[in-house]
Amino acid sequence: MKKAIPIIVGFTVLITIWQLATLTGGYNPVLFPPPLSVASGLQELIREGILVESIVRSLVRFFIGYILAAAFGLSLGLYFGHFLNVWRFVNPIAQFLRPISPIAWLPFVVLWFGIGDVPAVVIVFIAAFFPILLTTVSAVSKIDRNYLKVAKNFGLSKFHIFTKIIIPAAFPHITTGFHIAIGSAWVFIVAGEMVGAQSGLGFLIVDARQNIRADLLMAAMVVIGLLGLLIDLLFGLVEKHIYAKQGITKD
Amino acid sequence: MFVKIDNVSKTYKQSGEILQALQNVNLEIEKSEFISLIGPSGCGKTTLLNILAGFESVFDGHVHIGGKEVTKSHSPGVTIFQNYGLLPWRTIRKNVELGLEAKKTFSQREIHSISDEYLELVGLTSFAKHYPHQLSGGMRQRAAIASALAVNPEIIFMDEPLGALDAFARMQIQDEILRIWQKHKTTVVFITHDIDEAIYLSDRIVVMSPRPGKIQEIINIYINRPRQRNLPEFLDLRAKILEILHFAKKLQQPDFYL
Ligand SMILES: Nc1ncnc2c1ncn2[C@@H]1O[C@H](COP(=O)(O)OP(=O)(O)OP(=O)(O)O)[C@@H](O)[C@H]1O
Ligand SMILES: [Mg+2]
Repeated sequence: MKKAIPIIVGFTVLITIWQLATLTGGYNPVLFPPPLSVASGLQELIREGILVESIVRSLVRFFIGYILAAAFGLSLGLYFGHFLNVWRFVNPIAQFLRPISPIAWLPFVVLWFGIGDVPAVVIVFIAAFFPILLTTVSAVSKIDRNYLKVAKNFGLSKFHIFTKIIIPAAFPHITTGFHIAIGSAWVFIVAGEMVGAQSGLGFLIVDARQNIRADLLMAAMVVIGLLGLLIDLLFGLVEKHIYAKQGITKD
Repeated sequence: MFVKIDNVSKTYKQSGEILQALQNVNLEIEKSEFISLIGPSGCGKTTLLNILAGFESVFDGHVHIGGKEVTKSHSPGVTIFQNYGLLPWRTIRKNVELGLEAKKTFSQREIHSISDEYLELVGLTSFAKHYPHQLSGGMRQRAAIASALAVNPEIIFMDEPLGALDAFARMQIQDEILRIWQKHKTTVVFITHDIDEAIYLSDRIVVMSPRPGKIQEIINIYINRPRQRNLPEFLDLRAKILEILHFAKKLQQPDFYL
């Protein structure tokens, strides 16, 4: 509960400044809508059932893309982290692909997969895959050598070394990668849906823009931000639980 | 002879320089013997122990334990590390069970009853569900001892296992180690910097000297256990070992004369 106070205070101040700015600035409300009209826009979206549907669509696409990225990034990362000699050859390729923004892939993705659910899923996948892969590789390659000595000490098999030593030892570090990835991937779901979909929160933005509805546009942005915040908070709780179990304190 | 160390030498190459960590070490250890290695820092105690435990693959000479040659993939022993060697993500019970899980011969129930037995032996039954970070240094050391004993090894290697403990906890665990050793008749090779500890525990003390690392002298201890630390024999032995160590130091001094 103590954590909620700064969040509430911060948002109250932000909304107050926003409201005051729109009251005293004399801006065109179509270009810069006040919070109250955004709130009523939000109400409109809820009433018409569009909001819930968009959120569900976006979240489903997001989690499919993210879970696929997690599965591939994690298993490849565990493999490459253990076989660093192979990673030496793959690393340059990963470092070459990584700086290419997922958005740059969009035209190809739409050409290949057409409009629909797939482009958003693919964009989220690309956005989440590299941070997960790279942190997993580094987590595995940096695990305390003493743990491997313990494994050898008790004559653990190769398979057990992987499941009982390497994965749990690298786990805290890997979770950090998952956390970074979930935040940055959420950023790209919107881009994926703006270009490649006819539904979801990204499409809501395109739609509001075409209808020149600044209030709805801003309302969609607020929802995207809030969901991002929520995802981050939830992940943080999971992470904290894992760390606490191992006696690692991390701020 | 249970352990046979035959002309073992080990060199390290460090930034172009060759360092003779061990030179022609010969030592035989009998079954159920308690052996301590002492000597100044850098004389090769850990190196020797690592070779015995199969952690070191490249060296000259041969080591046999129980008639079988020690290689990188084979050593019958279990090492207790100075940093306790516990896995932080496992509870104390799960740590004790790690070595048993590796063996395919035990069922889950058997594993559980064996870990019960060894947790009891080291007095950690009520801490079975705790994680290592929730235990004191002494308790962690006892947990490490339990996890090593649980697999019933023929030989245990300990590298300064009590170095991080305060004097009181040290003496307490020394007694515990003796009690367990006497019960299980395990062979123990024990590294320490503490002369009293070595005299208190060992059947024989191997005093090593550095550069190149070799065995300086082997001292038999015939005092009956439990040993009183203030008996004249005890104090005589301590004086003798100090003298040897002092002598070992003098030997390396010519470096400074010129
Ligand atoms: N991996 C290594 N690479 C290079 N030199 C090493 C390595 N390990 C040990 N040495 C050197 O070998 C010598 C013996 O080291 P060792 O760790 O066996 O000494 P020790 O007797 O255990 O010392 P201490 O009492 O300080 O633990 C030292 O001079 C050390 O610098
Ligand atoms: Mg050492």
